[in-house]
Amino acid sequence: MSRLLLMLLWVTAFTLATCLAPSFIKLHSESSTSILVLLMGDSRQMFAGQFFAKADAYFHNGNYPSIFDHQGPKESHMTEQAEVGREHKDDDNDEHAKTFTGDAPKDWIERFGRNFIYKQHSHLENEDVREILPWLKLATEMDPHQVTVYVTAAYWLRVRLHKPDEAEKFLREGLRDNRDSPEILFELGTIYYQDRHDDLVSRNLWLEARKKWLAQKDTVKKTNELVFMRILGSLAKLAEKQGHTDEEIQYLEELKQISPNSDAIEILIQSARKSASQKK
Amino acid sequence: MNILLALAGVVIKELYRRKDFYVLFVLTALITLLLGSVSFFDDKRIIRYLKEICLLLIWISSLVIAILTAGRQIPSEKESRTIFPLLAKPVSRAQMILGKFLGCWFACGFALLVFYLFFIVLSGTHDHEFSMLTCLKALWLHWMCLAIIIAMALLGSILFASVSANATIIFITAIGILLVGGHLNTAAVDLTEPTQSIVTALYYAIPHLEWFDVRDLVVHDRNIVQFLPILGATAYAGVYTTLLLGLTVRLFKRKNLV
Repeated sequence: MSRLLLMLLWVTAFTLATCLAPSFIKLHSESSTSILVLLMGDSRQMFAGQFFAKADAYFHNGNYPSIFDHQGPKESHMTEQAEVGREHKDDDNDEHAKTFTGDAPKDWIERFGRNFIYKQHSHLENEDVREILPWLKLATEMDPHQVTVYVTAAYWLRVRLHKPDEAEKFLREGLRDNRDSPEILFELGTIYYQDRHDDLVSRNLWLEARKKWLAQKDTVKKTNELVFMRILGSLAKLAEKQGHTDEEIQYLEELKQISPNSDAIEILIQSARKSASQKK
Repeated sequence: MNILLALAGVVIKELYRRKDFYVLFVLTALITLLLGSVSFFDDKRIIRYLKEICLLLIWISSLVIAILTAGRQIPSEKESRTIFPLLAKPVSRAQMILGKFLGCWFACGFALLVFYLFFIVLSGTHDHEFSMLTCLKALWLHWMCLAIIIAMALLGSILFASVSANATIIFITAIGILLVGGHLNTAAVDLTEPTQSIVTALYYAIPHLEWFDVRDLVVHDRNIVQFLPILGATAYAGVYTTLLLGLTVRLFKRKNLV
């Protein structure tokens, strides 16, 4: 009788364990996330911004305007290069560079103090750009909805560090938290196009990015028109490569409507039409 | 001079008998090594963030050691009543302050050497472009900065009633100067009178400790600090330390110890 009772208890315990274990695991993972939210609340976004600024400071070899400087950098070269897709050429006379070299010292204390700080405008060279990555990673840990951070990190991982696998992994992490982001989808498509040479997947990703961009509110669209132009430009280029001239013209027509350089797009459209008529 | 060195020797002995330094060093090493084990994007060559965190911990530890060691010298002598036999010997109050200062400064210098040795080993093993010269310049400037802070803490120990109050005030002052000291002139521009004049006066009066903090140059391997500015900064630290110690001696001479 006692053996039966023990068996019954053991079976009950085993059944309970199998029922409750998944709930406990879920509860544990939820609580670990919520602890960060609970402890830091909305300040996480502020910290994410700070970490992103830190990455930009690293990109400029430690030289970065402080909060006391009247004009902080209006745009970041680190982000700009990732968004535009080509590298910025340093010019010490441009406005951006001037925010880093600073104004003339106001007094002898400031003048002497300049001996101990780096005040040149320079960027990290070659593979040294890897040094910005920990701060970008931390920024996304703090605020996983900062799409720019994912795109920026992926760009540098792919272009300078030649790590498309790591870039894709990071972008997919970002996509989990930002399912409707055309920027992340576009960057993923670019990895498949430029690094994996998989035109089919890249086309699908860019088409999805275009769909997501069109589904956005008009106010949001105006803030990220650049990514839409890049999506359409890439789709047109791919269509040209695959010989789908009608498709190419369609994307170029769309691009012409928002591009600030519509004349140049018109020339491309005419050229595409001409080659289409020659084929016929 | 022998009296000063004898007094300094006692303070140095005190540093290695107390656990503060060991705890802070172990904590710094532990946190740095723990962070060093984290891999970002499978790239083992990322080092600058680690150097930055290690140097930050070294600065915090050195401030804690300097302020606490200097801040408790006079109060502990008074509390244990050893100050009376000490002053009854042919030791003047000025010699006592100077001896205590030298002891704290040398003890902090020794602690800094150990901390920077750890930093050099860490950087040298990870960073192939690591500049030893920049690191040594940073160590020297750091030590000069600590001279001013120790003098401030000794002055505070005469002015404030308790060790904890003194430590808190000096710690906040030092951190405040390091963070915003160099920007007070910029901040003053947007202020209205009389605040503008007060902030500007403060800007010229405070010791500019931020000059001595060249962590960014070490982290980003920028060997730009020339020897002449280092000499200038050393003289600047010397002037402020002398002023603060002079004031401390003056106040200590007037202080009733009973």
